Amino acid sequence: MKFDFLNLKFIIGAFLLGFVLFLALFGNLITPFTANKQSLMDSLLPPLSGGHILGTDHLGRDILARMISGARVSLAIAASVVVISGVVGVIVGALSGYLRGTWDLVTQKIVESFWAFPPILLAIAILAFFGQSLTNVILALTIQRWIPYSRMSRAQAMVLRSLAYVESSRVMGGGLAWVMRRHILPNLMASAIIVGTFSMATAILAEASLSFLGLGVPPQIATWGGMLAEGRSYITRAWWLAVMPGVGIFITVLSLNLLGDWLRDQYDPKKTLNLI
Amino acid sequence: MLHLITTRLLGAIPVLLLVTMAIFGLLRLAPGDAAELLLPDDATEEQIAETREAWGLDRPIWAQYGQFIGNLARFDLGESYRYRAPVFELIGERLPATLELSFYALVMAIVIAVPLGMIAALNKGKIIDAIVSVISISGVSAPSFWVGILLVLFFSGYLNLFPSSGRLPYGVSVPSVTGFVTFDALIAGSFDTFLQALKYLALPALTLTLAMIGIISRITRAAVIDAGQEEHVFTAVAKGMKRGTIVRRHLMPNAAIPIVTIIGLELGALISGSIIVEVVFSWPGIGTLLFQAISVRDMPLTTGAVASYTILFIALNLLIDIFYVLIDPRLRGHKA
Amino acid sequence: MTKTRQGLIGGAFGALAVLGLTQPLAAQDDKLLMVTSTFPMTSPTPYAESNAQMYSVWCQTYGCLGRYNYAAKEYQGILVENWEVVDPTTWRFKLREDLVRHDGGPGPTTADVLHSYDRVLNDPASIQKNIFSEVETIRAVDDYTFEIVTKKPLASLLSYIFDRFIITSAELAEANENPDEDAAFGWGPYKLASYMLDQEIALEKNDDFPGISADAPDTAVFRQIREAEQRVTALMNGEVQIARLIPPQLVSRLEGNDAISLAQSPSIEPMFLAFNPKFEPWTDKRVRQAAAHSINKDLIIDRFLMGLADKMDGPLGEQQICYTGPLDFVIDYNPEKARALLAEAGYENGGPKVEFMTASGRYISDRQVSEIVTQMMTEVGFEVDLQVPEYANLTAAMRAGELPMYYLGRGLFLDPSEPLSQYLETDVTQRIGYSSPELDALLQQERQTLDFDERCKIVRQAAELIAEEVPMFFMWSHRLVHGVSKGIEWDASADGEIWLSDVKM
Repeated sequence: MKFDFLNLKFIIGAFLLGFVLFLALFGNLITPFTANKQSLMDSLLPPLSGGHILGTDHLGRDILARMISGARVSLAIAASVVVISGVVGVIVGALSGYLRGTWDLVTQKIVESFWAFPPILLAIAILAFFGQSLTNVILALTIQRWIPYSRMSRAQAMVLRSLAYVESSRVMGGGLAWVMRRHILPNLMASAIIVGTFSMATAILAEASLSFLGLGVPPQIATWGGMLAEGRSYITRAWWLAVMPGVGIFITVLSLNLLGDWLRDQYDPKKTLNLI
Repeated sequence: MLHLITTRLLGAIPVLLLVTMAIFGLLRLAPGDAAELLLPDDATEEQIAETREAWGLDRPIWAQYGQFIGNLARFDLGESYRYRAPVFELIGERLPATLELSFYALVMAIVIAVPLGMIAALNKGKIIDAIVSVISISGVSAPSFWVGILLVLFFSGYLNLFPSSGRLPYGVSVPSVTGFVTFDALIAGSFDTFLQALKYLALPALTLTLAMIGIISRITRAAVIDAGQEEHVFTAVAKGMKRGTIVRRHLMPNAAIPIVTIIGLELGALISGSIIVEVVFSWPGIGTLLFQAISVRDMPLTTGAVASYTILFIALNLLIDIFYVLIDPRLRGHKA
Repeated sequence: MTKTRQGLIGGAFGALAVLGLTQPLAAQDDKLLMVTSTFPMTSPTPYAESNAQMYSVWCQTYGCLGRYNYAAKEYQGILVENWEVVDPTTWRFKLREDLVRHDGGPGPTTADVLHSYDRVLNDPASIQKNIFSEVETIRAVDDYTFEIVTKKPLASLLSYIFDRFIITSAELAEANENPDEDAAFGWGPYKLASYMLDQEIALEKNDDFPGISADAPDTAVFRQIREAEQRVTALMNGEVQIARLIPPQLVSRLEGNDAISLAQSPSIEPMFLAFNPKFEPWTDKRVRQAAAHSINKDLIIDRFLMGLADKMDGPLGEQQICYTGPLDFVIDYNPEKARALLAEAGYENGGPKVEFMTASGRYISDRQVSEIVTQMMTEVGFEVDLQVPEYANLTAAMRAGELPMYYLGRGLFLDPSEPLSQYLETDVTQRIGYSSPELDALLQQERQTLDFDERCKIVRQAAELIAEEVPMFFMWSHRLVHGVSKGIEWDASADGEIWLSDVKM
């Protein structure tokens, strides 16, 4: 594929995401405060007061420090979710499409069941069952996100399977692992990355929704979703509590979506129609 | 066609079993049970034990699940612990509210997003394309609880245009025919009630709509671009056909399949995804019902509602496939 | 109504905005009171719910024995006109004879009381059995007099049953298959007009009720709005006239609004930290005291709860029965002492490690308060691992005695007798796992002392003991803050419920 780096979507998307990543990586240099240090005497300070660039929250914690720490955690959660679900989904789907037969039949029923599940509910049930922790939130968000990868990979693997060179390589005695690694998986990468970009965006939003329902990560870990959920009831009194993480989520999700759109445009749109 | 329908319906049975088994297993094995959670804080231990026994919570989990399946086979979903009423009735009461909300949200989303997507496609790569993308994606770039709260603050708190929560004002009611208050109001000939119901629908529906515009416009854009690459479109362009005619005659029919698919899928996602919006707006739908059922471990209600979701979801997918067959005769025969 | 203005502003929204907002269909001169509710509304059966709001609603419609008047600090009869203690285990109640049922039927009789007693105990929908956990039986004396016999002498009997024993008609139950839905008639000052599951309950004034005020609302609707932001918006919009339970951070949104006044009252729901002595390091009294000394309640109330809480030093605050003034033994905020106590207990080099569980969104700012407590304890040397499990998991573990430390509240803590026994008496429940023969003896003695002043002296001794032993560390009770539209007079009471005939419109 040929990349068109002058595309406006790429420019906006890359700039915004770059900004967020920069903040996550080097933000500590801007603020002397730490994310969890409370100071009740300094609670609800507006931005640019008392040395707090983005102000303080209801417990007097520095919002910039929390935004930075939150950026890391939120991005890490979303990235883990995307990578895990991508690997699982692509492998399951590719095997399904390549092997067909019983394996396909069984996995398709499982895929269908996971898919038929009302999304947030499965996450709630998982968190109720396993308890709340960072890993379990990732698990809860992953549990249904591998489905789109697997559906897409299955469809593409079926096509690849019948291609002449894949067929001949199989006839010549190439083992399953070899054919998969050599011919199938590399061809699925592009679409998987596109799906992953959009999926990362929804994972960030889903984490926020879990926090809203009181099912987010433990309190000593700052996430944008958690900050937004907590800050919402201060919106008329101290707007910066919710607006800052809201903006963080907004630009990250927006940039991921724009980049995903751009990537898809670069790729063959016909093959990516079903990539959400 | 008949073959398609029967294989799908038979194929749905294992899915239904897996889904209900999963939710039942997860929540029954999670700590806490309905007797503990529904009885008052000052209930005695004996009282809790008695209630457990009465509800069969002291029996082994497989026996409890077996009973659920046995009931399900007779189209009986049991009785909710929390409401002490048949689950079937409760779902029948709440589901229309969610469907009505989803219906209006989807209609609004289609009306806004499909034209947006087409504009973007016809201007692919130009600045308009990027602007449309940014606008349509903006809606999905914030969690829906946050969008909902902001909409309420602005339209309800500041402008005082729409009510902040609920489905109808006190004292207004319509005889239920369809379960959709707006439709029922029109059937009853009460235009005032219809308008009032619309006002209560406005903000929750808009919240859901905003979350859908991005995806529907994106798919429309891709589908239209894709359709534009077909040979007959080039021919039409070469023949000097008018732009509008090309869009209407050549692009839209071909783009329809993916657009309808995504709309169908979004409807499925809507029905379950409206939980958060229902919580924010106190909308009396099945989402809030289910969320509360889970938090008090009301197993009959949870499993029953999840089962109905699944059935609805499978039916919806079947309808989409039937639609494919209808719209594209080539698929007849080999799409099962 | 302000039709035109809304129509103009809403021009862009076309037809949607033409009509006025929430114009009730009821006639203009009807006094309609819309009130928010956060409680579940799951069944029209008056025995199927057990929460303060539904007891209050059923009490006002069907009728109960009476209610506790927080202003006068005394129990007042509704269906009963007087009562007396015949012997230590027998209480005699006399029903009023001047009441008419909402459908014109006869007033309440002993038969109705016995019928209702049977329903509480045996109706499959009932979850209220616990109100009779200490009652042996109820027996008729004559048509209007009945006696409640307790298993043991029980000084706090009224707190179990007085406003929670809902009386329904035996005659209507006989004549109707579904009396709660088809014949919801009682004797209270209001009658049930409609019940929509988890949405709203509407009550209409019963003009035949003796002495009911003409200023009281003609119709009152309890509408469920769970989100606090929405409640405030609904009040400012005029969708409701009383928005209840406004959390401290939202109060400022209503301050300075001329059309709205704030009603405030102390509550009877103490918030507390529990230190379970079955777990290390809470086995050591000094560690429990150290944790208590590390917490600066005044700072939290002042800076975080916006002053909207009443500090407690022991289990009882001013609103509660048997409050006899400040205790002699008070654990104040004293980090040095906390460190010293920890050192004495063998933790001079930091530690101990503790697990701390809390709820999220169940009580006012519960999670945030726990975060503050965590930091305060950390400052004197504790290593605190704060966790916020899903509520069902939290309560299950709490009831099973599996939580070493937690922050929760206990509602309906009007009379200390039952809650203290529930949490602290040996093996009554596993909630805290505390056991002290001395406290057990005091609690037993308190229950059997029918002389009020004598009883309160014993309660005070128990409170002193608890304050020093700190298996429970009482923090405060939150102020209940409600937004009320101008033109409505209502004195908020400590249970947060609205006695409609006291409201003036």
